[in-house]
Amino acid sequence: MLKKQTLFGRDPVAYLFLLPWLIGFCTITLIPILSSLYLSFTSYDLMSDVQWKGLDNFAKMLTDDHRFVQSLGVTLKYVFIGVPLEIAFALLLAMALNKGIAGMSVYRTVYYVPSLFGGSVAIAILWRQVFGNEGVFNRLLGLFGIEGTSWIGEPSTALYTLIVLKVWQFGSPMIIFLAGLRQIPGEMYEAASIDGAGAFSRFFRITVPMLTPIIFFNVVMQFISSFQAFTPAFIISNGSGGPIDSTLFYTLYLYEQGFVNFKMGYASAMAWFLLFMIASMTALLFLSAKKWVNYDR
Amino acid sequence: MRKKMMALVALCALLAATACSGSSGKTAEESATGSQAGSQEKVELKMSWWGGDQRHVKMNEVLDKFEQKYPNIKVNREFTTYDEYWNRFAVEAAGKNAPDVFFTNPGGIGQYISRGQIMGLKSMVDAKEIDLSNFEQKLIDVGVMNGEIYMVTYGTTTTALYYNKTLFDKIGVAPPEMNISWDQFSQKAKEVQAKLPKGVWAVEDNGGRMNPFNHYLATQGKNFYSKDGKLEVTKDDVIAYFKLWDDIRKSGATPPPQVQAEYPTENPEQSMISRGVVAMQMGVSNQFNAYQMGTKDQLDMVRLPVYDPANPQGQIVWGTFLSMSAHTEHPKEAAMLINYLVNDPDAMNVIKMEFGPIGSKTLAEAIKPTLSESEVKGIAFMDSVAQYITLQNFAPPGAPEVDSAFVRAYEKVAFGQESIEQAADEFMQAANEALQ
Amino acid sequence: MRTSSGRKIRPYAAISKHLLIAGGALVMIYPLLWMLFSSFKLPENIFNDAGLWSERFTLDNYAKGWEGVARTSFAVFMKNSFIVSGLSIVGNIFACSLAAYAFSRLEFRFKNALFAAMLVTIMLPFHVVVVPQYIIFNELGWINTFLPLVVPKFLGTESFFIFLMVQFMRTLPRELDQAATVDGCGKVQIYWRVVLPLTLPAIITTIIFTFIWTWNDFFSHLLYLADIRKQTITLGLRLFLDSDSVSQWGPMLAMSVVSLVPVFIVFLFFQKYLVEGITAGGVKG
Repeated sequence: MLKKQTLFGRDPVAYLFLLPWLIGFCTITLIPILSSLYLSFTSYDLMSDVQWKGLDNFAKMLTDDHRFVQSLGVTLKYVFIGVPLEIAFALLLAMALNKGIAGMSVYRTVYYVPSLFGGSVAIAILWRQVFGNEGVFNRLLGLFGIEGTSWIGEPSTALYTLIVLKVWQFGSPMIIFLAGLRQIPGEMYEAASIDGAGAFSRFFRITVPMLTPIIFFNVVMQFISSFQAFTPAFIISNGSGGPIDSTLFYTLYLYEQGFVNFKMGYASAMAWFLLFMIASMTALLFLSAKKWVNYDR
Repeated sequence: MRKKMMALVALCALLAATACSGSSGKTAEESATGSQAGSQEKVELKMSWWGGDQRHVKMNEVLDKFEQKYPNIKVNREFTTYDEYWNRFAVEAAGKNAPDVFFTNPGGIGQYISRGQIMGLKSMVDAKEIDLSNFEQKLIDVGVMNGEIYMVTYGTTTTALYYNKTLFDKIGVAPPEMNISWDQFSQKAKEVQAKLPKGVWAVEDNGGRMNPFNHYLATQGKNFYSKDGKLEVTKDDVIAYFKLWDDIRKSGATPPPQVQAEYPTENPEQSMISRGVVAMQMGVSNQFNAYQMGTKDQLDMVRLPVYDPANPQGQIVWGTFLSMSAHTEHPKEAAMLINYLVNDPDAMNVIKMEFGPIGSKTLAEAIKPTLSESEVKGIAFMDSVAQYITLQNFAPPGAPEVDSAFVRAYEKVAFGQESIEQAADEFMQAANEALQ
Repeated sequence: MRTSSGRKIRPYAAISKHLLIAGGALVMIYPLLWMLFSSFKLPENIFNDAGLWSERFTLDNYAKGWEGVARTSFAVFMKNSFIVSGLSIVGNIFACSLAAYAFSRLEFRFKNALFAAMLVTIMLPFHVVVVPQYIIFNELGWINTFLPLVVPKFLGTESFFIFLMVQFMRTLPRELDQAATVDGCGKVQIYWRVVLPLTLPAIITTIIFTFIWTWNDFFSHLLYLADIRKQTITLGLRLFLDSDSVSQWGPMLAMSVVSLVPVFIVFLFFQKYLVEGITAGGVKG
């Protein structure tokens, strides 16, 4: 008995389910999004009148702003090094902590602890205590006779300390992997063991395929949020993106333009360019998903 | 399990509903007081300030006293730390919800004056609605731009050279004195460095810091910005200042740039001088207490070096100032509040030296006997440099970009990425662009 | 040694696995240890001590910290944080699960467009929507209340969780839906009786993440909560520090530790359900 196709599709009741989201979208989300789009074509300093500038902001951004290019470079490095590492650790640890070790609960919590720190002020101090000139890391290196430098203060290494910070906080995707692992029926593993499949085989033939929707989720979300990373760089460099712009994340530069220099129009243009970049990449990911993500059992 | 969940959701929804209705009820009530018809019109003002815990307690006390004296005026209070203050202010101003009375300083106010956010107070001062007749003339002029008064002095501070007296005594070197030249200072730094153990340096690298640079210009009778908001500083000025610090740094008397870069912010208790990493540091005088609290050594302060010891004129005053929003709905009452804060003896008895030496001469005399030792020290320091005070032109829109370009330019020099010529060139270009 | 299914495992593999994980755990937890130890130190030692140990320890920081800032006890900040976080959790579960069900299970016109729109909302940096949103909330008179922080959650603005639940729901076998339909269930009942209970891992994840994120949220609290009596712990903690005057690092660290306790509890409690409390797969109830 096939349902009839109505004007709104097969299940118009969907709109009832979507009602809260639709209300939120139209009132709280859509208007600010559209006004930021409008602002990206203007010059707006938050207090005076808006001045139309057409494509000037975008032109300047892409051709005449070396700090923009710098911020793009910094962010791309951060994303393409940090995300794969973080997801790899998250998956690894989720597998390890899913079963079979004494004190599992405690370990799971401990590995999640870094993610609890989020954007707290304590992070800046802690990171300096570890990677500063007199930090723990250098003392560790000293044990092996290696003399370290200030990893946070050197322009060539500062960004990498932030990548380490990001990877250190792999607890969030790890939890999501744990939840996903939970949904894999235990019977499948048992059946495979009975058939003589070893640990590696089970991992690659059962776990990974069953986890692909979750892996996909984590990859997409980590990419999206990493492109927008703000708080770590803001706190550790005190908003400057230093030393010498080596930690000038894209959104940090955006924030500086919008809230410090009062160039909200330019900041909006930057935001939409970022959106365009993220959306393209996400679209690519979704397209690729058809090849490797499988939802069936 | 399902039934329990349903009940829980229902309960939460109920809570949410009451929370929502509760708050909106209050909002309605609050707005009603503004339009209440009574013998005296009830007015609500919003005041915003920055500071630490002690300050919040004191300000709340003062505002309570104000409300007691003027029962028809209610003051809603907003306070946060200095770092967050301007962020919140910017958004509120954008949302047409700026406070009626608020703290400002010469560094931050320029952005808002040209954008029509600050009320000109000259007419009120002339009419004695804000009575500044007891103020030091210089402390009134500090808040003036183009003939209009935009800020009222609430507390003052100025640049100072901090030094670790205990450390100087230990290594047997005489501390820096008042009114030495920059060359003499450079010599002193190198002299000190020769006697310091490894891992301790003579002074922080101030090559990229705006405050000392402004002072460097001031004692030459120069201004960073011109009256109409363009650059008055020249490339040669920048080169000279960069050269000065490049030389000190290369001699090993400052921490290397990567160690310097670990601390982009100047939080007193965490500062290098408080942790015993440097012997001298350039800062602002009202933070003396904060620096001292971070260390067991004894700290002291003296005036920053000057260009010409024979003619040491030139000192910039910063501090905490009060301004009024240009969009306030109650200018009269806002003026009353400002007047109360700077002139009322009751108010001043609570605040005392919280913001540094104050504007009103009569009140300053009145509170003198009640001050603590370190507060007296602060006043003594201000007094010692008061005669040299010169006025600076406010930082215009675009100034924040100039500031950050300055920091970056010097960083490139310090890390050996660019020559001083190149960096100064780059800086001038970026600064001019920012000020267009 | 044998595993539960009776197979032999080599002791070296087990021990080195254990050592690695334990070592890793130490790396993970060191900063927390630093914070914990520092919260018991005297202010002048916090940044001067090389390691975890100090010459003297004190409980002062906790006493002072609890007194709070500006005569407002830290208990007030915690209470407010609980309210905001608690309501946010309810709001997110409510709105996001409904929307996720629609996207994952139902067919309707504009589905793809709306799904894309939902994802796009996550991609725009919040700094550019902050000002227009502030203006909207100001017009509504919601400034200085919890409303701008909580109501959007009931309206599904946190699309992260919609997407999360969609992914989880899509892994549930369609046969369950079909079986329920045959039993006479409408779409609403399928949601309530079949899909929602089986999405419990995602819901638990939502609870944990919502709690932690709202607990740690700063900028929106700064904008929308002006009155000190309405402020939350993130604001309260920040008030201990001030670059303009004396900062109170000791009390701030002490209260940071205290603020982590509820987060830990929430996490410990729910992660148990996440990993142990649910049988995977199959039809329940």
